[in-house]
Formats: sequence, structure tokens, C-alpha cells
Amino acid sequence: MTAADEQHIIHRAKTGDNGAFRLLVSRHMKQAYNIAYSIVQNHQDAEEAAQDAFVRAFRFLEKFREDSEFSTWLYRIVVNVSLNSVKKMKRRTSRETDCSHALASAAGDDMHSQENSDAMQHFEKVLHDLPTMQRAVVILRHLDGLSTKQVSSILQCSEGTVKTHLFRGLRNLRERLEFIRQK
Amino acid sequence: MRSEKHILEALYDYLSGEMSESEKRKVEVHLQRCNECNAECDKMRSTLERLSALRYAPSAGQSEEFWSEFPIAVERRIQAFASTRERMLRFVHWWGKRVNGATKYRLATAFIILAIGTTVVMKWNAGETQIPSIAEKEHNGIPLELVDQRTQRYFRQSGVLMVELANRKHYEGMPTDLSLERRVSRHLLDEARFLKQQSLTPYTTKLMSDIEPVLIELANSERHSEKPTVDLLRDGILQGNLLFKVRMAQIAYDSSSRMRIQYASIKE
Repeated sequence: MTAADEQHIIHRAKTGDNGAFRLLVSRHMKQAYNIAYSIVQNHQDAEEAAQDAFVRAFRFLEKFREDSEFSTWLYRIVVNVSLNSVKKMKRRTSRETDCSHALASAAGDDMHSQENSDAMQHFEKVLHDLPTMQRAVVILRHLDGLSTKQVSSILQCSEGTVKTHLFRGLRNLRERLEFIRQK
Repeated sequence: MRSEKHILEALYDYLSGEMSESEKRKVEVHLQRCNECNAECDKMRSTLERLSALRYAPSAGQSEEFWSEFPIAVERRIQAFASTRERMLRFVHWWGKRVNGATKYRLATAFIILAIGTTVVMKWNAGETQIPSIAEKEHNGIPLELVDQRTQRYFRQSGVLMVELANRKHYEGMPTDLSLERRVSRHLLDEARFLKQQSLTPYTTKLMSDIEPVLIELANSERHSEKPTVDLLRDGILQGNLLFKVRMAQIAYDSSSRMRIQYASIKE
């Protein structure tokens, strides 16, 4: 789907075409889910946050001015909904999260040895134990492949702030990994 | 690149390719001169390489069926939202049409008076429970209220300690610092010893005995404990359903002391 096609679909959705909005949902649902998961860290809340974000997007679609990409606007909603969900969760209880299915890592890949896969699992675990913003920034930038500008736009902060979170996140990640390796 | 921080942040830009050619050259010159930054650069490069080796796709963990249902679920939620909004709009419309101006003001005033009245009554009740009263004495001369207070505090602290332990994150391979928990558990063991000498209900004594093994295990644990110790403590808490029991005991003590205070204030 080209950018022009998407723009056309957005216009149709704005006029109340449910089919067009469904197309937008189908196109962005997996990425929205991945972003939500990177923040809430469990499948149930990620599903809830992603669906909630689409409902909000539908409600406020008329306000989307099209001065940025639809995906950026949508992912900003996903991030906001997910962060709110994390806040609620923290208030409710700080529960343990199982991140064994968090990342479809190279664990099942025949090319990797068991040792490598263990190391990768350690890496994933440490990544998911980073503070929320550092984790979100590292995942959005380096695993989802978004640019620093896009990340800053989604998180509604400056590029400098994104870089600071990235730098701290990467350093934290490395230090925790080094600690494990020394043990 | 005067400060160390500046160099480190410049290293990130350098490695991620978000840097102009001239800045890149400056960093490369610096890296040739500075061993520390060079080492840091290697470490960061290796972290970024490991990140790029990960295939991040939590969405891949969901079935095809899940993804075919997803847009339908979103649509269902949109419809639910729309029908709620419609009901609200209908109510607003009805309110505007049926209720005339004077009635609207009367109803709003009644609502405000009701809200203020409820707040005042609640505050008054809260104030009532603060009436100090030590009406009864225990056989060994310790006021019953003091025993109650200490028992309440014991359960509250035990509850906080166990919630903390149950939710404590453990990083694989990293020891968990339990020094604070050990101190608290020792204090709680002393407190339990004192309270058991007072006349408590059989349920309270039994619950204290149930909590005791966890506290003893914690008090005797290493300052930096490995995962098995933390797991053992957690199992002890979960198997004995201690969090629930402690919470119930807290509620029972709160309400019984409130009732006793109210009873004493009526007698006075």
C-alpha cells in the first residue's frame, strides 16, 4: 500500500467508512501490538492497549491533521495508552512478568547453538528489565527500526531526550550483561 | 567533545550513523588518541550488534485466528462506545427538553447539598474514631489497646514485607539484596514473641505461628541471597496463603478496635 493509497483510505475513514478504518486496523495492528508489548510486557495488556488505541484513533480521527504520518500519530496513541496501562498496573500490583515469549528470538534457529540461545535469552530478559522509557526507546529505535525523529515524535519529546534515554538504556543493558557474564 | 559525557553521546551518534561526515572524522581522530573512548566505542558497538541480531516480534506469538479476530474486536468496541455515547446524548437531549430551567437548578443544588452533607458526615465519623480511650486493662498490666495497636502494626509490617518479597524481581545470576528484609524480619520475630505472651485470639496466635517460619528463614538468610532462597520464601508465603490471611487479620483488627473505641466512647 502506497502513501497515497493510505491517505485515500484515511479520507474515507474520516467520512465514516467503517470498511476503510478496518483496513487501517489490519495494516497497523501488528506494529501497534509490538509497541504496546514493548511497554506493558504481557500479551493480555498489549492486546487491550492496542485495541483501546484503535478505538481512540477512530474517535479522534477527524482531528488527525495529516501533517505527520498516520502511523506516527497512531503509535503515539498506542504509547500513551500503554504508559497509562503501566501506571494502572503499578498502582494495582507490581506483578512478575513472563517475558519468555516476549521476543521471537533466534532461540529456535538451527544456526545458533544452545549456548548462543541462552545468551540471547539473557539479553532479552535484561532488555525487558530496563526502566519503561529506556526500554521503549531502545525497542522502538533499534528493534522496530524507527528513526530517532520518529521515536521523538511518537513519544512527544525532543530528539535529544530520545538520545539520552537511548544512551542510558544501552549502557544499562551492557552493564547488566557484563555483571551476569562476570558471575 | 570536551567532557566525557559529550564523547559518549557522540559515540552513539557515530555508531548509529546519525552524524555528519565532518563530525564523524572528529570522532575518529579522538578515538585514535583516547583508549578509554575507543574501548567504550567497541562495547557499544557490540551491544548494538547484539540488538540487531534479535528478531523482535511479540506479535508473532499470536495465532492467525487472533489477528483475523483483532479488527472485529476493535469494531465491536467502537460500536459499544458509539452506543454508550448515543445513550448519553439521548439523556442530555431528554434532560434539556423535559426538565425546565428552574428544576435543573433545584436538582443541581440538591446534588451539591447531598455531596457536602455526605462529606461532613464522613469527616465527623472519622473524627469520632480518633477519640482516645483506654478502658480496659490486661491481666499483666499492659493496656489492651496497646496490644491491639502492636498486633495491628505487626500484621501491617508483615503484610508489606511479604508483598515486597512476593514481588521482588530477581535478575538471573545476580544476588538479591535482602539486608533490609532481614532486619525487618528480626524485629517482627521479637514483636511476635512479645505479643504471644499477651492474651490474643487463637486465630491471631495461629497466624503468627504460620508467619514465623518465613520470618525465621528470612532472618537467617544471606545478606545477598541467590534465587533459590528468594523462591523458597516466596513459596512459603504463597503455599500458606499468608498474604490473604494477614490482610484479613488486619481488617479484623481495624474493625474490632474501632468498635471497641466506639463502645468505650458511648460508655463515657
